[in-house]
Amino acid sequence: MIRVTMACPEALVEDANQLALCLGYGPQDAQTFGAALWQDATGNRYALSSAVQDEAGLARLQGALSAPAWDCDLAAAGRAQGALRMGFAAAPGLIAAQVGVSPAAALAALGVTPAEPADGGQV
Amino acid sequence: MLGFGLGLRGGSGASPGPAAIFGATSYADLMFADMGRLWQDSAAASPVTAQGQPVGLVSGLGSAGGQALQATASQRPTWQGSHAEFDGVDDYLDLNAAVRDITRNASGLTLWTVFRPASVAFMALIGVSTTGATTPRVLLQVLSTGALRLSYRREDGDGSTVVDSASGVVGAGLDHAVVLTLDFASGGSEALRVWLNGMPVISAAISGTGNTSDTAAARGRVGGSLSGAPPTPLTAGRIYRCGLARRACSAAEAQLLTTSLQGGIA
Repeated sequence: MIRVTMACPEALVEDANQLALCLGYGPQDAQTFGAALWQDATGNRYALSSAVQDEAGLARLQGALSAPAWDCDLAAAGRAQGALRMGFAAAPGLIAAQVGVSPAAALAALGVTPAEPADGGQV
Repeated sequence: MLGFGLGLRGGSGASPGPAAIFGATSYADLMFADMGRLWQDSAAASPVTAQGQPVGLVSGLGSAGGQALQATASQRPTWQGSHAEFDGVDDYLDLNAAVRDITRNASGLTLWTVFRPASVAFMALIGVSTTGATTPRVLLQVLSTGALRLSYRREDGDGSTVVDSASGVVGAGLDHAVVLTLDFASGGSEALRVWLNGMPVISAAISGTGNTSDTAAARGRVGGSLSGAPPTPLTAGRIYRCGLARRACSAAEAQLLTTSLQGGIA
C-alpha cells in the first residue's frame, strides 16, 4: 500500500471530487475533498486528502478514466486529472500530490499548514 | 510530562476492563488491536487482514452494539497491528447512533482512550454532540500546549463548559491512557474527573445536577472534532482504543480501567 497525499486548490475541489468519485469505491467518495482548511505561504487555500492505495489504485489515478456504476461527471474528473502533478508543491491551478511518504513529510513537501490558528476553539 | 511511554497497547489484559466494570450498563469499547473486529470498508464487506490496510469500520465490544465507521475511502485511518494510525490530514471515524446514544438522558458518563500523538498539537480524540455539530455533550481534545481539554454540557440549553488540565501532560510519541468521568447526577466538587496514566489531571465541579437532555445525539467522532467536513482539528497519531459507558465509574474503577488499558496486570 502506498500513501498518496494531495493538495487541491479551493477552485478545483468540485472537479477533484468527481475524479475521486470516478476512481473510488462508491458515491461517498464525492466527499474526498472537503473544506479548504490548509494554506500555503502566500495564503492560498487548499483542501487535502491523504490515503493509502494499492499499486493498481495509483495507476488508475493517472490512467484512462471510465464511468463508474454511479453518477459521475467524467468531464470534470478529466479536468482534475489534467491538473494532477506528482511530486509538486501546492500551487494554485494544479492538484499537487506527494506519493510514498508519511503525512507529515507530505505536508512539508506540499508546503501547506493549517489555516486555523492553534487551539482555535473549534469543537 | 505524565506521558511516560509505558508501552500501552490498549489490550484487555487480565485486569478488569470495561466489560467487568460496566457489566449490564450500556457501553461501547472500540479496540483497534482486535483485527477480527475491523473492516476495510464501512459496509463490513472486506475484513482487515494485514497491516497498512484502511479501517472503514470497527465493531465495538459491549452492550450498546456500537460501531465507528468512515464511508469516504480516503478518510479512513490505517491499521498498524496494535492501533489505527490517523494521518492528521483527513482521517476520522463516525460513531454510530448506538454509541452516541449512550450519552442520551444519562446520569453519568465514562470515556476512555489510549492514544499516542505524533506531535504535541491541537487535536480532537473523541466526542459526541447533541443537537448540532458545535454542541458537545462530551469532547476530549489535546491542545498545542500539551494540555488535555474536556468540553461538555449536560442540558442542551447549557453553554459549553471547557476545562483544561495543566500544560505539558501530553507528550509527542508517547502512549497515554485517559479515563474521564462526568457524574451529572451527583454533581459536587469532583463530578468531573480525568486521569492520565492513572494520575488525576482534572477535577472540577459540575453546576447543577440531573441527567443529560433526552435528545438524540446528532454526531460522534473518533480522531476528529465535531464540526467541519473534514473536521478540524483532527488526530495525528495512534489511537489504540476508545470507549464510552453510560455511568460515571468510581475512582477505584477508573484505576482498574487504566490498568486494563495499559495492558493488564496479573
